[in-house]
Amino acid sequence: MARAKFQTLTEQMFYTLLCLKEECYGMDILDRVPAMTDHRVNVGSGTLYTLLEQFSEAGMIRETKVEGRRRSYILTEKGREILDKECARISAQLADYYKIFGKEEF
Amino acid sequence: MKNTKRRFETFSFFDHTGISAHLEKMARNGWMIERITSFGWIYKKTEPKTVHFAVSYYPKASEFDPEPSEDQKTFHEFCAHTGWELACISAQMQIFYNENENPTPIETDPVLELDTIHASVKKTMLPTYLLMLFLSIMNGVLFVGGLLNDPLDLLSSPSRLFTGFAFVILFLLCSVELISYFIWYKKARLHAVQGEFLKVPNTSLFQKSVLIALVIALLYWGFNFIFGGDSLRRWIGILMCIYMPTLILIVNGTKNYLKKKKVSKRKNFWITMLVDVVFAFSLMGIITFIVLSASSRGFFADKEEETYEHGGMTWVIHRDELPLTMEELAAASLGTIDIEFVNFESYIKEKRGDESLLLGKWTFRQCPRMDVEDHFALPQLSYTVVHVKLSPLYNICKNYYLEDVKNTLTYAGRRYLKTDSDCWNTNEVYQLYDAEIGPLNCYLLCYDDIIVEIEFNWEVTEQQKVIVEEKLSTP
Repeated sequence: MARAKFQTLTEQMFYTLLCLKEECYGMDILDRVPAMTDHRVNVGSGTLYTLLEQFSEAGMIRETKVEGRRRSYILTEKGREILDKECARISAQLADYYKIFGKEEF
Repeated sequence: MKNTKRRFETFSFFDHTGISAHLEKMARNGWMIERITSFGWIYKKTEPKTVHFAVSYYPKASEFDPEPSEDQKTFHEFCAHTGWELACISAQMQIFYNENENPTPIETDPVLELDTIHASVKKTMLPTYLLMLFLSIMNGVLFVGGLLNDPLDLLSSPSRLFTGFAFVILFLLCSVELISYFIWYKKARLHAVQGEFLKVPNTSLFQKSVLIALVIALLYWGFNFIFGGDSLRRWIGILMCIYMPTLILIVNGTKNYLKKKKVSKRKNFWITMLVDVVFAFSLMGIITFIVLSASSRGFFADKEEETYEHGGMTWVIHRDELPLTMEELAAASLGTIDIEFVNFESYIKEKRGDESLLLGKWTFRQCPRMDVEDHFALPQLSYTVVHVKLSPLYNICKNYYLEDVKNTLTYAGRRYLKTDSDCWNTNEVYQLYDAEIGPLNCYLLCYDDIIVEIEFNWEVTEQQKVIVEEKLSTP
């Protein structure tokens, strides 16, 4: 179920996982994603909360530290695989675009 | 000036867009939502301000939670980090406000938002509404059964009509909510995969309309029950009006007390359910006991009510007012029974029945006391007057008498046959025929909006038929 769910990633999923390359407090992702994307992508607090829960359940991230209610997470091997797969999918799309329009036009 | 305001809001559980818009409007008018209770939404007076509201759903939360769980508090902290402050909680519904001009929404992924809403709906709204729908359908089956079995008793009873109406309202509310939810959910799912949020349909106006209709029906029933009946009925009405609010207060009070005492949600749920069942039955038992013991002590009897003893039983000497009396018929001679021997002083006059907006059904009886010699040989009169206030019901009522007599075991072998209506001066007259005895002194008289079933134990004369028409053909 979870695997089918994350066969492709939305931008918000992609950047949330990307932030977790390094150990990071869940709440900090709310600031990191807009900073990383020059405010092009924002993750809502409810959406992030649900994503972290679903990523943990799917084994894509794991909890590393609990300080009161602050929890930090890090990407797992499985999470990295899914991220790589998504990256390859996007790259393939980009390559197909270049084939049609060429790099210069882009 | 009041600093708080209580309002009864009629939003669908899943109408997060409608609730947010409404709360934003209230805030602009200087009323901030403070809490949501079973007895309305409480607003606090503030300076009028423009704030954003968002309703988010936390499926793991429960109405019986003593306080938000640690995970739930984490969720609130996530929201606070982006400027969304918690305004109030109602079970899974978490209401936030944000004073920033353009805040990042709490939910930025429509698919995830829809999943969360659906999980919350499945936990609370769906089982509750399905249960209520089942109850309303069951009541509907009973109501239709009553309608087929004895439409006159049912349609003339304000209590039974009100109960039926209340369950129709319940059925409408539940089905409209469930249908609109599933239609919206299906459409919202299609939009969500395209990355779009779909606004929730607003059923508030519909809910308000049917609830107002229910309150009007309740007032009509309450007024009719308390002020329109005898002393016993009045007291039953008053006690029932106390019963329901008391039960709701006890159950709600128990739940809130246990929440304050930080009892776990599971314990709270079961204790509250137990209290609900125990008090529902015990309060009803207490009311029944009070009514029965008060009744046996003569508390509900009219002060001037007289009784007599016969055959080891106490009989009430009814002196009700009848629209047609034996005395009036006697003036036109009682046919085969000699009037000189009839002493009407020893007769009781009894009136029974009920009346609703649709129908009035009254049964009148004038007969000698049980302790009078030759009780059954003396002339007696009994008749039922049905006042049909809604013309489409006329044929149903008429056919009930015509069909009912045919089908009732007591009257096996008897049936009404149409007879000459000239003397009765009615639209139609039917006379009861027995297969062995022949014609009986029992008639069904059909006037414009009145149906009378009248039975004499003597041969009715032409003059008496005219008197019957004069006295009973109008309401």
